[in-house]
Amino acid sequence: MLIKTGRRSLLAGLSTFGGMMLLRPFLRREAAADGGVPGPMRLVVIQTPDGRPPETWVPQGTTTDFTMASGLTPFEPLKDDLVILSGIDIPRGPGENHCQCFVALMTGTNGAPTVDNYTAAQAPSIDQVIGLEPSIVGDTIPTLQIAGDMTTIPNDISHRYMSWAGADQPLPGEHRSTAIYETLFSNYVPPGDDAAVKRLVQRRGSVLDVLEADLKRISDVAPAAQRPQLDAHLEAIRTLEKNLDDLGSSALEACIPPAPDDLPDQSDVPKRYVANLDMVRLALACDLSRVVTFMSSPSTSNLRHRQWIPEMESDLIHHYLSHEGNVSELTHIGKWYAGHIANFVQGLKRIPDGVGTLLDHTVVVYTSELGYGAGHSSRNTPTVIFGSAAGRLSTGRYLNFLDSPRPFNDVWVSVAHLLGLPWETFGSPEKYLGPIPGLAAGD
Amino acid sequence: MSPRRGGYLMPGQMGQRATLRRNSVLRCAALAALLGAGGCYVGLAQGPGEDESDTAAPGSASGDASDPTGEPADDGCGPAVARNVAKISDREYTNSVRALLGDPEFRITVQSPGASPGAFIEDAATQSVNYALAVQYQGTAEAAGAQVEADPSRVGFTCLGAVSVDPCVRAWIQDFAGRAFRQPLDPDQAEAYASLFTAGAVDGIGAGVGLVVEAVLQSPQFLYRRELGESIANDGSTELSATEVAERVAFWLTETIPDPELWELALTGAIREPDVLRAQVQRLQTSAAGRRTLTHAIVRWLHLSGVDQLDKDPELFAGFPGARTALLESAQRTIEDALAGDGDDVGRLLTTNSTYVNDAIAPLFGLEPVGSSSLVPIDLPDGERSGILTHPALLAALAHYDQTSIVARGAMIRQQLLCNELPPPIEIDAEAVGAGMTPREFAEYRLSDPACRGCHQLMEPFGFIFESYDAVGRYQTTMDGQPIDTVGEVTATDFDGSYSSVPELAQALAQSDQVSRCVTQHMLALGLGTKAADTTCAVDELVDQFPEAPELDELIPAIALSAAFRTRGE
Repeated sequence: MLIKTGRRSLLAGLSTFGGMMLLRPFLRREAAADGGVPGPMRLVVIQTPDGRPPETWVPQGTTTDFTMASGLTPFEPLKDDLVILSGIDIPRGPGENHCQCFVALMTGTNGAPTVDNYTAAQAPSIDQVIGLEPSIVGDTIPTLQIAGDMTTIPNDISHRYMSWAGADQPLPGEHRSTAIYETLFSNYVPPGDDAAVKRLVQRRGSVLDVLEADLKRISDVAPAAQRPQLDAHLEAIRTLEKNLDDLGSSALEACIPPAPDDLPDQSDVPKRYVANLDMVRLALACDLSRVVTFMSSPSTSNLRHRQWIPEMESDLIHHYLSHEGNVSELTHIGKWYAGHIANFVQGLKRIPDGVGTLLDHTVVVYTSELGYGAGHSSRNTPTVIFGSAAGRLSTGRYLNFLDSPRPFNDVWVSVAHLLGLPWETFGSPEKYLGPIPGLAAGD
Repeated sequence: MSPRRGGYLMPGQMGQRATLRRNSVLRCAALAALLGAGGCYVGLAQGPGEDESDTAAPGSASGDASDPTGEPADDGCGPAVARNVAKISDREYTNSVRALLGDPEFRITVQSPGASPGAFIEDAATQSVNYALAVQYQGTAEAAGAQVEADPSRVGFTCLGAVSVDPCVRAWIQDFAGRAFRQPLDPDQAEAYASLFTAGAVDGIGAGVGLVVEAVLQSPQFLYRRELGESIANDGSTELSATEVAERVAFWLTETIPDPELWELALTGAIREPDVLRAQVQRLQTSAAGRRTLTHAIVRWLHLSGVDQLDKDPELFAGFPGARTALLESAQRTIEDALAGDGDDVGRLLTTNSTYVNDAIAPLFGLEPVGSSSLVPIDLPDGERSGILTHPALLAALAHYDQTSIVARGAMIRQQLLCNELPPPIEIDAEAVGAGMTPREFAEYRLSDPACRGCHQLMEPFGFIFESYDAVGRYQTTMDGQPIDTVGEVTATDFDGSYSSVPELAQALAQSDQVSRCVTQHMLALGLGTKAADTTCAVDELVDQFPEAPELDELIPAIALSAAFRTRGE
């Protein structure tokens, strides 16, 4: 019998794997620097839950001369690296008083009820659409969904997901630090152990060949309706295969994974939050993925912030504080989140990347799935964009649309433009006006 | 807290504070939009030909219009579900990996995208293997491979003299991978795994075994169930193959791959003989794994899964965090006991006076401490409590953070015990109407507003009867100093009437044919692995077979022998 050997099968010989592939990401970036070309663009969307009272985040002043509101003071040192937008509305359905905003935030489209009375998105979210752009993702992991917290009832589809692969297909954010670590660094071997790298490449390569053949056995007999599911699986296997090329210790200086033992105890919510957000930074620093969403907490957040914010007085969970519209407590919570996000952005700013820093090539969108949480409002959702977008974004500005609100889809199309994608629209056509004026340099 | 009551119970916030202090919002059922005012489609699961004028209809998931008689055809029911390939659930994956490794403690943290482990049946159709999940499978498989490399005997590898792929190694691959895949390896596949063994074995025989294990545990053949059928039945449907029958039985009853005895009968084809199948089903369902699986299914059926995570207002009962784990365990053991007895298990579960308490949960039953931190069996006095519906675990699960939920409790009875389907709620602003109302008054509002009434008239009466139990399940006769009205006028059931206590209601439920039918429907759905199938005919057939409420140990083999279970449509 003819024995078919996969291209990475050990039986097929081993000559082509040297140290070169370990340097590939490094070389790519150096080449970019040498040629004076900007590095690849990245997108990070960071959500914090349950909206904000406007007085805690809407700046006072004019476009170029404004003061930071009480809940955003940690962004003060980054004032020249950001744009704050007020008057941005999330699409909502007709007659929808209790906005099912989370499903609409990044899909730009209203959700629809599920059989068990929740609301599910009906379109892919922007990160998933951008994750299909070869010019952005290259051969990295197309998109990553990471979370700080996931504590709600597990089947509450309306409030737990910011990323959607398509209608009724939520993509959960991973909040377990060890699982994020495994996703990102399963290919990482400490520097110096070339034999271990070689062995791992060989073993994984031959296993993946077998898996692909086994998947084909199933696809060949599966009913047509199940083909997309199996194709997605094949895509995942092929990504694992592609990643073998990057296996090893990274040559990128800023790419230093944490020691697995240093990952925090999962019951320590604030430490977990910081660790997970830092792994978003590392995913970018190691060029493992270029499109990442970070959900701080599901909507209707269960987190009891007083446990780690000593200045707070109330033991209520964030969700109830948001219903009370408790400005002083919500300022503390807003500042806590803003502080960590500011650290994250500063971290990107410290990493050289092509011409400039990683922040110059990363569009960071900070937002929430609600406006003023007390009223479940979809209006005036806190929105901040960080990074210069390789000079495309005119930073250091406050764009006030309170008197002439704009749908969030306008922001997403503008974000696509900042990433170099010439989109003409996104989301429901009736929830789109046009790119946000005043964002692009030269506007 | 605010005396103002009301607000829609956001489904994700069971056990959370419900008093929305501003802009409280209420959702009503979407009948106005869907069916015209007042037309929530609910009611009795009727036999054929009965007048279903006002609150007509389904009761069953289907409301089957294509089968107006409701009678099984002469030649029995056809298949209920189509040919199918489905990813195994995270529970099934975890149990199966551990079974293959012979290590019940092996650490696994895999979580599929879209997984809902608390759901009665997980919808495999919405789950696919994305990159993040593939990495988790890979990590688990590599950890397993490393353990096996150190000790190949743990996966039944005994070819100690082997230096390369010999007949002994080939036989082991066929045994191990075949059972893992629930399908013997075809020659090409067997050859591919043999090559893999050789590739790994350059580092020693153990490494060869480890590499095969690594591949088997992430193989799509392991990760997907196939229900494609092989031979054609006389009605044109296909009958599941012997290995498919064994696979379905094993995942259904034990949430893991077939054990060696069942697998042997699959390989010989004997499992397709009715007597053999019946005996195997009985063996598995009474095994420890079978008991655990069924108990867990009932926990999910009654919405009890999240009880050990519930958050309750400390002002209401400060000891809740220390009680919730024992509370769930007490409910589980109550269920186990009900299953252990003879006759109608569910009837017993609905009316039993026996349960388990420790010092942490005794106050929730209104009992003095029992002097034990571990659970001890106890018989509750007549009157306040009877059966699982009055267990504080269930009552707390179906309540808000600091108050009861008339809607959640009523909806549970309708949907889980009577198999009525309620349409999704619409949303209306309740700011104006909810203010200052007691829960009962707010419910009365929903019953008076035509936009809400159609559906809420089916839930609220049950919810009223449950008002005797607060948000942590303690018995109460007053609320905010006012006596509680617990009278509920139950309609659109086969036990219509006025009830004022849950024990009284539980007796009626225990004797209801509608409940018995709904239990059968749920058990069949478990067997088929889906709630989406039209099972009207198959349920009718089973109900005919068991005119009295069946013992589950009899019902389950009958399901396994039904055409719905053993055949697949196109």
